[in-house]
Amino acid sequence: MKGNLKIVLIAIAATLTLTQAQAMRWYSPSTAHWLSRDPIDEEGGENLYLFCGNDSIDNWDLLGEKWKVDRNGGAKASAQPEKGDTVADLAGLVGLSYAEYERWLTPSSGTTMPQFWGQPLTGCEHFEIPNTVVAYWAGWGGGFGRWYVTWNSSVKYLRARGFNVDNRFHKKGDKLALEKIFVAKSIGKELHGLYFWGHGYAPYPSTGLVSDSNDELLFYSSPGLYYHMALGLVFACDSNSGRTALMSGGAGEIWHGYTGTLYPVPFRAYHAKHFIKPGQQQTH
Amino acid sequence: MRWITLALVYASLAFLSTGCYTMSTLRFGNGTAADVKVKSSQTGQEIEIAPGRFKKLPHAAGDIIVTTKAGEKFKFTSIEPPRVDTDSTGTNYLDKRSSLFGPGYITLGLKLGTNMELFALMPGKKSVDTKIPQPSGYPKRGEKMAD
Repeated sequence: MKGNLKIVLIAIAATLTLTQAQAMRWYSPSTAHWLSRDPIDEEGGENLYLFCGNDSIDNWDLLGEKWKVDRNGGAKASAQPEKGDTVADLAGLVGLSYAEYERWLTPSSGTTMPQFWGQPLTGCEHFEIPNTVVAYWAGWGGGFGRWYVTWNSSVKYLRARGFNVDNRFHKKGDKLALEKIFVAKSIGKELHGLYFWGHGYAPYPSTGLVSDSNDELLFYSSPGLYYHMALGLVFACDSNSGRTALMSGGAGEIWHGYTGTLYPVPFRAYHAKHFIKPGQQQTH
Repeated sequence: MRWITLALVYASLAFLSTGCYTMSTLRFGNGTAADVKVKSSQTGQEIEIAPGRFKKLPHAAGDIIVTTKAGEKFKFTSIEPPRVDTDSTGTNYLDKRSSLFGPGYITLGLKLGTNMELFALMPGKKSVDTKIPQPSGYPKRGEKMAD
């Protein structure tokens, strides 16, 4: 019985050595050839026995799951589809609006912009997506205030999630500072989200965001965004009034705002880790 | 340990009294010869002002409705104090008050003329300074509303 089991195991090992099973086709390492045609047919090129243009270093094709998003701390993150994936799938995954995809999606060299958000992709394309979170401190108390609400630790957490965090502290007199940042970062297709501590305007509904030195930072009626964001942690009075103006409203959107007045209590669940869970918006 | 606790309690009280909003108000002056009522479309709050007097009205965005003694109503559109001074003229019509504890305030002074024109005032002033350009969109002319 033991001998039979040994023979079976050797046979399985030999088979796997000679031919490696991929998700959708078989590959022979000894002859370095695919034993079956590429299931994406002519979409992958005229030669049906190639794999992603024979460039398996820069391309990969796991087939059957979903987009691979690699957030590596840069201003933009790389995103690669698997066969059949669409831009709408990506939008839902990262929290952006599929209808605005041409405003935030950047095709890499050799890849063209999809014709529409529902177009099935081949799995060999490369794209870049926004990966910058603007962390803007306009709150009370300077360093003490930031300690009080776990600002530094939250910024560190966002960076650990693979985001490029643009950490800024408001300078008194800098009018419409946040709107100016939004214009630059969203036209550059880099803006993913906002982490903000500061004030809102009263009477409610609040019309925008303001610093503790009463400098207007942006207005919800004209925030300067080229596309709506995927992430918004906005700790300001009545910030929920600005949600529609700032956020995509997509499936994967992450938002935390306030209705009415926010009275901060020390360290109380303000940390970014309470709002962005592992796996959300696909970090690695 | 006691000092840390005290510091935390003090800090909490400070923040609790701070809130995190900036109250936007109008300092509305009546330059006409009769009483007027001034209503904020944002809050619904209405104040009555005697000739030559000023009163404050919380208001950040939207229209202002002025009702004259004769019952005529005039609408002044897009009165938005936070947006004043955001152009590049370099003027500072907004009176900004911060406080260490408690909410901040911004106040825009406005004065209603007899021809139903609304002029912006510099902080603390009760009359229009003709040497300083009015903010963008000012003076505003009231639009008579149907009965």
